[in-house]
This record gives sequence, C-alpha cells and structure tokens, in this order.
Amino acid sequence: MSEQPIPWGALPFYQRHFIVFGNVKSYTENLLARTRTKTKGVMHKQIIDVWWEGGKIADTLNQDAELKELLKEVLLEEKEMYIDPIEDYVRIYSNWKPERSVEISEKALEAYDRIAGRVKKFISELTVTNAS
Amino acid sequence: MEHEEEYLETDVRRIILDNLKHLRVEAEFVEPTILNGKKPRYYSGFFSGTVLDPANSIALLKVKGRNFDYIQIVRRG
Repeated sequence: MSEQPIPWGALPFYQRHFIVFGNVKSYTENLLARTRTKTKGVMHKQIIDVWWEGGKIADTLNQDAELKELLKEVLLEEKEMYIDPIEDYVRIYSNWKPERSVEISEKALEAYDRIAGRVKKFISELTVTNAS
Repeated sequence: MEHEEEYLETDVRRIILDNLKHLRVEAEFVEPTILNGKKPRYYSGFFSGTVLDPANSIALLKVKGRNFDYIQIVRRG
C-alpha cells in the first residue's frame, strides 16, 4: 500500500489506470473482473482465446465479440487487464510496465475505451434497476 | 544502450502526454488530489498481488471525449 513504501525506493515500473466515475460502492462484486488467455507458441506467441472472469460485468464483456478479437492482439503487449471498482470510481489497468514501454498503442487505447464504455453502461443500468 | 537509460518522472509524464496527443486524445494534467484526497487508494485489494503492491501516483490526466474520465499514472514503490 502507498502508506508503506518499499525500503529500496520507487521502481521504474508504471501502470496506467483508466478511471470511470460512478458511485459503485454497492456493486463492487458485480464490477470486479480480469482477463484470462489461452496462448500458443513461445517465440511467436499467439493468443487464441480471451475471456473475462469475475462478477456480472465479465458476462457482459464476454458477449462482446469485437472486444475479444481486439484483446487477442492488445493483450500480447498489455498481458492482463483488470477492472477494479473503488468506492466512487472504477479503475481499469494492466500489468506493471517498464518505463521504456509506458506508451500506449492505438489498439490498446481503443480496447480500454471500449471496456470503459461497457463499464459505464453497466453502472447506469445497475443504478436504474436499483432506483426503480 | 538507448533503452537501458533511466527516465525521470517528468520524462514519463511528457512521454505519456505526447503519446496521447499523437493518438488524438484531448488530455490535460490536473491535481491528483481531485481524485484521491489525502488518502490515495489505487486498488480494491480483491486481486491477489495488488494487496501489498506499493504504489504512488505521479500524474493524473483529465480526458475529454472518451468513455473513461481520467488516466492516472502510477509508479511502483
């Protein structure tokens, strides 16, 4: 945690957190999700299948065929993606990246944007359902 | 070697901003306290591996015209 910094100091590894606002305190378990992949090859690694595991949002994301195809390409560089709700917002991030590869590709940005769109829609649907 | 050199945090901020501009993303730096207040929290702790991950924010970017509202750059340690 940030209150207990590691004794050897900050490391040259970074994460980019894509943040979607929305009061998600009551829907934490529904919104938690992470990617899983099935790969083939070692030298020329290929992702042959991608799926989401987690709360109800995972089912929604698994139905998006276009996103799946996009992630097969994007996860070769991003490795894994997580959807992590914290009180007033949701964080979408991947694994730690060394500083030389902190830049984001156009395809990865498209994937994050698409996931954020799904998360936003999911939050609004949950809010409407609970209000009625 | 070019890729072995260490970058300063300011370099990383610039690299990200330039990268986003190149991708035609409208973004600007804002105060990180807008998001976290005085007690920053970067993970819910549900995913193993993130519970003890020490992290610090080095930049927060407000983004327009995308489904996400902010991009936060978090440094390990």
